Amino acid sequence: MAANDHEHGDSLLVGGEHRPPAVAPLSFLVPDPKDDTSLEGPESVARETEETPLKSLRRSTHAQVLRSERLFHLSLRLGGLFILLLFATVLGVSVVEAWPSIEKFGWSFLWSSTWNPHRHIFGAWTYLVGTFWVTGIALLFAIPIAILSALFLSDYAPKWLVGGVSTLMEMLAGIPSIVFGAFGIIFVVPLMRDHVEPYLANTLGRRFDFFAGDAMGYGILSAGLVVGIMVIPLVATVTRDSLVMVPRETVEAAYALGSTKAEMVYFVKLPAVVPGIIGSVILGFGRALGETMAVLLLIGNQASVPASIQDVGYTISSLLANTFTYAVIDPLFSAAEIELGLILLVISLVVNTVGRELLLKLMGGRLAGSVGGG
Amino acid sequence: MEQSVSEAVARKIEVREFSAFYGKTQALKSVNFAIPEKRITAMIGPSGCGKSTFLRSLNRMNDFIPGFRMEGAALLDGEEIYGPGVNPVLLRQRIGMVFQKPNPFQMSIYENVAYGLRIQGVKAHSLVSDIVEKSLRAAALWDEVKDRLKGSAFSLSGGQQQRLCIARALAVEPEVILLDEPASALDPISTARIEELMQDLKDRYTIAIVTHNMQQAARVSDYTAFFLDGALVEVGETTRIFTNPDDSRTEDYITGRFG
Amino acid sequence: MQGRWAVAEPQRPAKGLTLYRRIRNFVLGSLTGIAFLVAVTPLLAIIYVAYDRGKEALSLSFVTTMPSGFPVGIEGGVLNGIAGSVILIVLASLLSVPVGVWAGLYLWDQGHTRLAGATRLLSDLLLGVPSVIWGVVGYYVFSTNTGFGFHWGFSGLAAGLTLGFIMIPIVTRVTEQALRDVPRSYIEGALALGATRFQVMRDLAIPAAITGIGTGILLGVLNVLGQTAPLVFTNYYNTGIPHSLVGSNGSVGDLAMQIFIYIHEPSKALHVKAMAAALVLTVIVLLLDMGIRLLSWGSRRYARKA
Repeated sequence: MAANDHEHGDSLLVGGEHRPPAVAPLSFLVPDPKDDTSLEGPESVARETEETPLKSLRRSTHAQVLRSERLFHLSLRLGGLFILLLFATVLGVSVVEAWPSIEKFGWSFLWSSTWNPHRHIFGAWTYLVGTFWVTGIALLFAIPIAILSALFLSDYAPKWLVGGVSTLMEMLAGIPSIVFGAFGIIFVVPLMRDHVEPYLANTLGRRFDFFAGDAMGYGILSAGLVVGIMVIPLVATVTRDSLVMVPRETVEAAYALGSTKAEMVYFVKLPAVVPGIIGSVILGFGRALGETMAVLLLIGNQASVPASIQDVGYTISSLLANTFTYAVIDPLFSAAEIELGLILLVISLVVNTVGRELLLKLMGGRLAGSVGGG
Repeated sequence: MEQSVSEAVARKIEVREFSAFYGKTQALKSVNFAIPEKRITAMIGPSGCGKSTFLRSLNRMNDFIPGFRMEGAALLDGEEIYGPGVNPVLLRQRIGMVFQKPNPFQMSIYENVAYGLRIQGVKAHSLVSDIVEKSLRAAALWDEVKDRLKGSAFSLSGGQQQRLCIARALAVEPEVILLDEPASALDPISTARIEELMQDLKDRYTIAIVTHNMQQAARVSDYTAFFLDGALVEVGETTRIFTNPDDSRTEDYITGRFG
Repeated sequence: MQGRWAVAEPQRPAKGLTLYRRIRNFVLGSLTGIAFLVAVTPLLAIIYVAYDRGKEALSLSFVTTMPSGFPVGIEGGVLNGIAGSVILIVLASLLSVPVGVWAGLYLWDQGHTRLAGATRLLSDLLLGVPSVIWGVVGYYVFSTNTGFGFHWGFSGLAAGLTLGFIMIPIVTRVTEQALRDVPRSYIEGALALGATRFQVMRDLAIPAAITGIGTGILLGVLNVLGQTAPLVFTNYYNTGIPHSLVGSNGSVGDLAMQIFIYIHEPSKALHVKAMAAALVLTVIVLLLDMGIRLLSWGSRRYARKA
C-alpha cells in the first residue's frame, strides 16, 4: 500500500520541519503474525552496525555477566534462608524441648493448676491466669490514657508543643523494662503498700473480696500498673500515627456541618481510626504479655491463682526467668516450663501478627518493630 | 518519492501478537507492530492506553513489576527479546531508555555519563573520557558542562538533567533509544532542545518515543502509532496519521474529541 | 438527639452553642490534656526517682571503677556492666548486621517471589517473639552442656549471639525499608543502562540507603541494649571483666543485669547503686535514641536537597 499524498498545512504540522521518511507500507509496520518469512525479509539488509571497542567488549563479557548475576541472586537467597532457619530454630527448640511435657499431660496441661516439681505434675492454669491478670490490669489502665493522650497529641496540643512532646513520648517508650522494674520496687511498691492498697481494702474491699487484701505492695496490681505505664507510650504513639492519617477533608467536612471540636473528634475522627486503635491495643497487649523483668520484680512470684487484685502471683515469663535455670536439672520440669513458653510464644505470634496486619492495612506500609519483654 | 522499502528501512524491532498483563488486568492486547530502524516512531494515546507498557516491554523494564506477564513475541533484529537465553541486562545495553522525569545519579556529571561504561568493565581512562565527551556532545550538553564535569549532576537545570540522561544512555552505544515522555516535565525551551536533539540522533539510532503531546509527535516523528485501551488502533506515517487517519477513533483523538 | 422527624418546631439555641455542647467540648479537651500528663508523669518520674535515689552513688568514678566491697557492688562502680554491655552489643552486631543486611537485600532484590514473601512474614513474626523465649532458645543453642548446641556455657558469646538473634529481624526489616525508599526512577535509570542488579545494588541502592541502614542497626542496638531476660538464660552476670567469652568463666557483666541483681538484694546501699545504674542505662538509651533521630532527620533533609 503506497502512502497517500498529503496536503501540508494541517494545523498540527505547522512549524514542524517534518521530513517525510522513506515510504513504508502499512504491511511493513504491521507485520502479519502468520507470515514467518518476514523474519528473514528485507529488514536484514541494513543490519550491519559499526564495530566499536565497546561493542566488542560487550560480547566478551556476556558469559561473565550471566554467571555473576546468577551467583548474586543465589547468594542473596542464602541471607533469606538464614531467617527461615532462625524461625525454625525458635519453633523447633520450643517444641522439641517441650515435647516430654506435651506428651505426658496433653491438653489437660492447659487447665490443670497443679504445679508440683517433686511429684512431677505440671499444669499451666496458675500461670495463664496470672499472665492474663497482669496484662488485663495493664491494659485497663493504659488504654484510656493512651487513647486520650494520642488525641491530645494529634488534635489538642498547641502546635509549638506537638513536635516536642511527641518525641518525648516516643523516646520514653524506649526506656528499658528493667528500669521500670527497679522504679517499681523503689517507688510503686511502697506507694501501694502504704497508701493505695490499704485504702482499697478499707473501701471497695469491705464489699468485694476482689479488692481486699493485706497490702503487701507486691502483687498483680503493682505489676499490672507498672506494665501499664510501660505500654502507654507504645499504644499512644501508634494510635496517634493512625489519627493523623485521617484525611483533612473529612475533618473539615465535620467542622463545616457546625461540629464542635469534641464532636468532630468523637463522631468523625475516632470512628475513622477504629482499626488503628484496635491494632495499637493489640500490639500493646503483645508487649504486656511478654513483659518479663519488671513483672518478675513486682509480682511476688508465688504460684497461686490470684483471687484479689492485691494478691501475689506468677506470670509465664516471670516464672521462666526466675526458675528455668534450676528447672533444667529435671527434664520434665524444664519441658513443662518450655511448654508454658510455647503457649506464650504462640499467643504472642498470633497477637503481633493480627495487630501488625490491622495497622499495615491502615497505614499502608511502615511500622517499626518493637521487641516485647526485656 | 516512492522507494522500495527494503532499501530504505529495516524493522529494528518487531512485535507480534504481543499481549501484556499486570496480574489479571490486560494492558496490551495482541499488538502487531514494527519499529523501523533509524527512524523516529511516536506512540500516542490517552493515558492508560498501554503505550508506556509497550515501550517498557521492549527493554524488559516490566520484568521488575510483580505480576507482569507477556504473551506473543517481541523481536530485536529478529531475535526474541523474551527468548529463553536472553539476558535482560545485555538486552538493555542495546536498547537504552530515557524516562519521564530526569533521573541523574547522585554522582558528578562526568561519572553519570561514565557509569554505563564502568558497569561494562571499561577501565581505560582515555576511552572513558573520550566516550563521555562524545556522548555529551551528541546530547548537545558539552558546551554547557565542560567546565564543571566534576560538579554534581543535581546542580543542572531540569532540561540539562534530561539531556544528561540522554548522554548517559548514548554512552553505552545502544542501537535503540526508548524515550518515555522525555519532555513532559520540562519547560518549552528545554523541550525544543530535546526535540532538536532527537532529529540529530536519528541518523544513528532507532528512536521510539511515547508522548502525551500530539504536537510533539507530529513535529518529531516519522511514524506514529495510536494506542487505545491496550490495542494498537492505527499506525502509519506521521503525516498521514495526522491528516488522514483511516480509523475514526484516531481522528477523534487527534482532533481532541477525547483523551 | 432524637432520630424521629420533628413535628414540633425544632428547638434552636438562640445564639451560639448550647451549654451542654460547650461543656462537652471543654471536658473532652481537658481530659486529653490530663491523660497526657498522666501518661508522661510516671515516665519522667522514673528518670527523676532514678536520679534522686541514686545521686549519692553518682560520680564520674561510678562509671570508671569496678564494683567492690561485700556484698560485691556495695562499693565501687559499674564499669564491669558497661564493659559487658559493650561486648554484648558488639557481638550481637557482628552476628546481626551481616545477616540482617543480607536478608534485607534479599527481600529487596527478590521481594515478589513466594520464598521472599514467606521470609518477610517469618522475619516479622520473629519481631514478636517474647524475650524469655529468646532466652530459652539461646540457652539450648549456645549455653547448654548437653544435647545439641555449641556448649559454650553461661558466657558472653552465648548472650551476645542471642541478642544478635533478636536484632536480626529488626535489621532485616529496616534494611529492606531503606532500600525500598530509594526512588524507583533512580534504580530504573541504572537498569536501563544495562546495569546488573548487583551493580545497581552496589553503586546506587546501598549508597543511597546507607543512612537508613545505619539507623536500623542503631535501632536494633537500642532494642537489645536494655534486654535482661535473655541474659538470665545465657550469661547471668559477672562482677569482673572476663578474659574469655566462652566456657565456665566466660560470663560478662551487663548494666541491665546489674540493676536486676542489685535491686533484688535487700540492701539499701545496693538499691542506691541500682538506681544510679538505672539512670546511667536510661541516659545511654535516650542519647542513642536522640542520635538515631538526628541521623534520620539529617538524612531526610539531605534527601530533600538531592
